[in-house]
Amino acid sequence: MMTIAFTTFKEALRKKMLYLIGALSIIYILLFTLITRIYANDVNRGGMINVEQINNIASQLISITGFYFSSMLVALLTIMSSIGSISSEIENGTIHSIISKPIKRYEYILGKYIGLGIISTAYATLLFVLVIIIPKINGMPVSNLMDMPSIVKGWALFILEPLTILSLSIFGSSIFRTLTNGIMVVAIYILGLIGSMMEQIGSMIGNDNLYEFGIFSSLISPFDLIYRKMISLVFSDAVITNPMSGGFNAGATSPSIWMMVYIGVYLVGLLVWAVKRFRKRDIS
Amino acid sequence: MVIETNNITKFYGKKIGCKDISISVREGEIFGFLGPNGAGKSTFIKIMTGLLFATSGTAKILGKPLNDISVRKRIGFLPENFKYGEWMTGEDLLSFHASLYKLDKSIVNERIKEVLSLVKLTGHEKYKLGTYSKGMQQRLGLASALLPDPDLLFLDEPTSALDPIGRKDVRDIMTELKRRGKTILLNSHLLSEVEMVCDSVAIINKGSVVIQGNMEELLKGQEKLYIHAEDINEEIINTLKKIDENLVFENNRLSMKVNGKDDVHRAASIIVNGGGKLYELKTQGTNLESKFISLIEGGDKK
Repeated sequence: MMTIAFTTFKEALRKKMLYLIGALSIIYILLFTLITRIYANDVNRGGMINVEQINNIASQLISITGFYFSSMLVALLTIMSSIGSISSEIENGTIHSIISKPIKRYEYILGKYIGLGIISTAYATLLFVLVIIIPKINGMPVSNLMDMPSIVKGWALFILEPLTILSLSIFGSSIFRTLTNGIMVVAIYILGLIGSMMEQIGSMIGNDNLYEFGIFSSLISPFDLIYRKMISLVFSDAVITNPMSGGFNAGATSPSIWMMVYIGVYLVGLLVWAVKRFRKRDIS
Repeated sequence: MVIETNNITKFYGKKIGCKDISISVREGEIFGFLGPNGAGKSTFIKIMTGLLFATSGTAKILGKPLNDISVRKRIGFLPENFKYGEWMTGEDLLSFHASLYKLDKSIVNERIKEVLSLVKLTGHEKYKLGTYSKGMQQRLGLASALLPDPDLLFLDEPTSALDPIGRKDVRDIMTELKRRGKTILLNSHLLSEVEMVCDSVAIINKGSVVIQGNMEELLKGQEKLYIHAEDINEEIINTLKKIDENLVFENNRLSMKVNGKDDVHRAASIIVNGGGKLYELKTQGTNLESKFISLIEGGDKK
């Protein structure tokens, strides 16, 4: 299993796609640094905002913007690196010389998961740390709102999101062709973003239909829930969860512990399902 | 028996992949598995190597059932289209496959050197696979299959991308492995090659085995004798008919079936002793190709 994991890891590192996402990440981090510096300069000059509470909210908004787009970049990397991890090896015949060796099929699936999981986790950790450190270096007040235990819990959830997406993508890749799986995973990811927004709007305006649609879509695509839980942990008094939400109260829609249990079942369940399907799959 | 299958059948939905394949491969022999495109050869090999699951039937490989993956440590397999990531070097690939075979780390480097030397790729192991020609990739695939010093080797079209020298090299490797007591199941379209190296063959058409057996036995009794002679009289013809009663004689040219060299000598003696003038005499054995074509075409007409 670790042989597959190690080779998958090395292969993913050599893919051009990784460099593309790396370049995007650098641009993004530079922009984020620029925004925080401009903000910090304006606050210090006292020319923009000087009411303490608004100041906190504004700096929190910038920080949450950082987390939001970081989570999207991590999701992008995870999806791009994993949609063809198994299916493309079946399509081009590479798998023939692997599965015929003395390895169990579950080792192949879990090896792929571990290898790609390490890449996604490392990338997510890097972005998470940068999004925490950059505002701190620039002296933004948001840094004072985060304590270490919250940051650690937030980090755990920040890496849980790509690991859950990876589970879905590996499952799809063990059954579908690469293109089909890519469409499916992206569609489910977007469904989660839309559903999450519907749920929050429904909660805010008291519309049960919207709220239930949001909950239902979160069952299929719980990724944004993990992100929201992460934000609610890092910023205990967060008033928003993502920069697109326009100021909805996150506390009211923060995922329950049962939802987090569901996410654990979702992650493990998809992997187990992938293994069960793959064990009986003909590799032609 | 190294391979023993009993009515192995595979259906893809309603389509037949292979049907009731029962073959026995003895230890130390090279067994040719032949058939036209789409006959079911690759399906059968993929079942034997654990890529496909048989719909019905049973099989034992090296004395173990198909689902026993421990036996795969003793099996080498060169798939028809051996591929791996172009980012790897030849050495990376062999190390990876050595790990999959769970080879002892202390022998891996030595083993990699040996197999590289065997397939004549020494010196190329540091280059990336993206720079390898098709033939080099096929040699590397063979090297990978040889890593565990397997007792049984499945070779699916091992020479399809090789030039004549490369083909001879692979034939030599197969012969050497056979000398060392290894068993090889060879799937190849190159019938002359199969004829050269195989001890036994099975010919498969439309998913089923049409004929199988020892190569010499299959081709035995199929030689044809062509004679150009003059002054052939009735008595000579009648005597020659004792060898082949269906012989054909036209325009001083005679063709007849013979069984071995003794019959050739007898026919020549009959003509010369009977007063005939013998100008030319040649034999043509039925080769595997003509046998293959007659079997496949015969099967298609049915």
